[in-house]
Amino acid sequence: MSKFISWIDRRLPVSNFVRNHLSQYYAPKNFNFFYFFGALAIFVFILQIVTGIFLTINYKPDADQAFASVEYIMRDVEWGWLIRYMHSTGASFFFIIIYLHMFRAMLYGSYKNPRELLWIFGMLIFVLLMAEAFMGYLLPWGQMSYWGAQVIISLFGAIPFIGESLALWIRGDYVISDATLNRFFAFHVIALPLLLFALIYLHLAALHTTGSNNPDGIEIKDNKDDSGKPLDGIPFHPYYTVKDIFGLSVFLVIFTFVVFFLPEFGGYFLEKDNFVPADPLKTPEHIVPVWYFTPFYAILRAIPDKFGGVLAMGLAIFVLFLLPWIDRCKVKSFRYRSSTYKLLLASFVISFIGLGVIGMNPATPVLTWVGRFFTLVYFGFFVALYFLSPSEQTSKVPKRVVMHE
Amino acid sequence: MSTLTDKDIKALQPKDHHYRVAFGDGLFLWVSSSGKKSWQYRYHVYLDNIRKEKIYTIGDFQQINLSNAREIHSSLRKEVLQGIDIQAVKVEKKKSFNTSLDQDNQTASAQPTTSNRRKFLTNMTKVMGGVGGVFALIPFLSSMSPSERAKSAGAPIEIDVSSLQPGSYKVVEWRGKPVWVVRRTKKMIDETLEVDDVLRDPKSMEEHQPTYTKNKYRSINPEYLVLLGVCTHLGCSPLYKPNPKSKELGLDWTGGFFCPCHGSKFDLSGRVHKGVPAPYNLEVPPYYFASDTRIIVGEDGENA
Repeated sequence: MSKFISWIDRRLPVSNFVRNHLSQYYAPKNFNFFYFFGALAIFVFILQIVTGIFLTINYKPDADQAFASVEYIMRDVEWGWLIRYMHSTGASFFFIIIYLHMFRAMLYGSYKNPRELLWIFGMLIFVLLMAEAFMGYLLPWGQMSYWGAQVIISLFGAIPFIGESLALWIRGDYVISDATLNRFFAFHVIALPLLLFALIYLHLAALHTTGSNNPDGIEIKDNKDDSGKPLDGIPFHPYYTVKDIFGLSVFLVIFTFVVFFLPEFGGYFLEKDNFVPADPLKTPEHIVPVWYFTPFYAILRAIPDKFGGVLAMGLAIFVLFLLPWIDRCKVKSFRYRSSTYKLLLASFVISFIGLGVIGMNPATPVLTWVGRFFTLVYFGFFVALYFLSPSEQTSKVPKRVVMHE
Repeated sequence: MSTLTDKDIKALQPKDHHYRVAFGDGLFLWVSSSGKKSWQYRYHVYLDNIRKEKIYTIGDFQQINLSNAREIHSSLRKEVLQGIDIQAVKVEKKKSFNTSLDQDNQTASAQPTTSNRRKFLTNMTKVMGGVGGVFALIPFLSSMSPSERAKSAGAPIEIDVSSLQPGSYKVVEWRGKPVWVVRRTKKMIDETLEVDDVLRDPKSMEEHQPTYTKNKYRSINPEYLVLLGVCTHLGCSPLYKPNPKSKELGLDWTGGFFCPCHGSKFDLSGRVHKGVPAPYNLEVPPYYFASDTRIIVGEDGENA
């Protein structure tokens, strides 16, 4: 066996790779609950690829056949319902995981020097994931697929001068049609997954260059023993592989429960209107995007101007890219930051969730005003952070990680 | 002849003037006034039958110890005994080495020109490659534009409104979009105001209708309203809400169209309200009356 391994190693440094990235890759020993989500995100990504491949075997990207082919998968294909529900539930869980993963980065300042690039790759993955989810949602060709896509593509039409022709180019027709469905299928199953794969690779490569941050926001590489191992680090394998397998088990209990008992999740994961075939002449009473888009959608609705709304929505995402430079406080973890920061972060989270709830509901005057308030809080977080973070009253950061037994 | 060892040689002190210590058979240690010690070989050659004394420098004492120096010396001596002028050979070797160096130097001195040329050519290749790459994108990007079939699908359609009751409306598809025909009641027509505070563009100043419908009814015949049923905000299809003072839309609602997506409101002529996301009035498609009850949508007819 060892002969075989050395035969391989002379041709491909497999053992070296395992050492550098698993058995002798040192991660901080104080990871907590929030550190499950990176590994879980990779798991769900693979799950989506695998279930997606099996869905394409029976799906037909044709406006006349798409809706029926999805129903065919659900009713006639053996276990088709399970594969489809795993894929649709997986999409929602992917966003739950990614939002928590991003929140973790905000809690512990994981986007800060030296991990800015890591954060930017992560943000690019987030944006591509939204595009991937949006295009995938058109494929069942239900009412909400159709009208949701209509609304989102029209957003591009709001861009001055080139907007209308850009929207036309994206649709490939004057309205959402078979042409649109076909190209969205191509992007959803080939183009975006390939790009996502490349970006995930870069995200991990950047992570393994700087090493993980941790809940105390201190660099474990600053405290090494004589042999050069970080004193507060433990090898990723077996310690964190075991931890992540435990996390995955708990995740799978929740995930499979939803897949088997609540796949539509009360209309949040699969909207009721999407069980009606797309009808270009009849808009559903309430067009609501799937839940993971609603915070940004609520920002879009809050601005009483077409281009302004689109701009605000784009800015709401773009501003996150700049977070490493907006937050100018040297201390990473919220544990040692001022109560002002904790208050700001809390109000940001509340406004994000609030916007999400508003985005799911029809636009009444009261809700529009609440939406405007939350939009202000959302952007206010970044403005306040930029001005307050350099002179923040922080408490003393420990030299070594703190274990809470 | 000296019997010094390495240790002794090391200990030799420089004098006011340089001096030599002989080790036999022409091998000398030369000690300069600054203390630098080097090995030399003094030998004789016959040039044109004239005996000539020459000095060959073997090397520095720092690098070559006594036994090494003796070794080199003895091999050199063999050459000398064969009549080879070792110094001349050394010079020759050095020369040819320098020539090859010179050649290299020539290329080096010519480098600014070559490297500029090379840089220029590299950059041109990059630019041309980039331009080629951009042009190669055209077929791919263009393939995503509407196809000829999609473009030709926009032919005019005919709508028969003979069965339409006053106050009711009809939806037909034209170019994949809903077209509404509303038959307005006399009350609706009478209550349409020329200018209204709640409207953004009451006089239809912006070009979202053919000129022959640029009036407060936004139609050729006030009784029939023909509109593109697509919200000017984000393309949803608004709902027909003709009854004023509705529970959903408030007491000041005067009847019109309401977009369920983002709450945009339009009056019964498709004119947009102020303070809603939709930026302008609902579009009026080109149309004409082929007879009193037949409307052709998609062409201007004799109106233009």
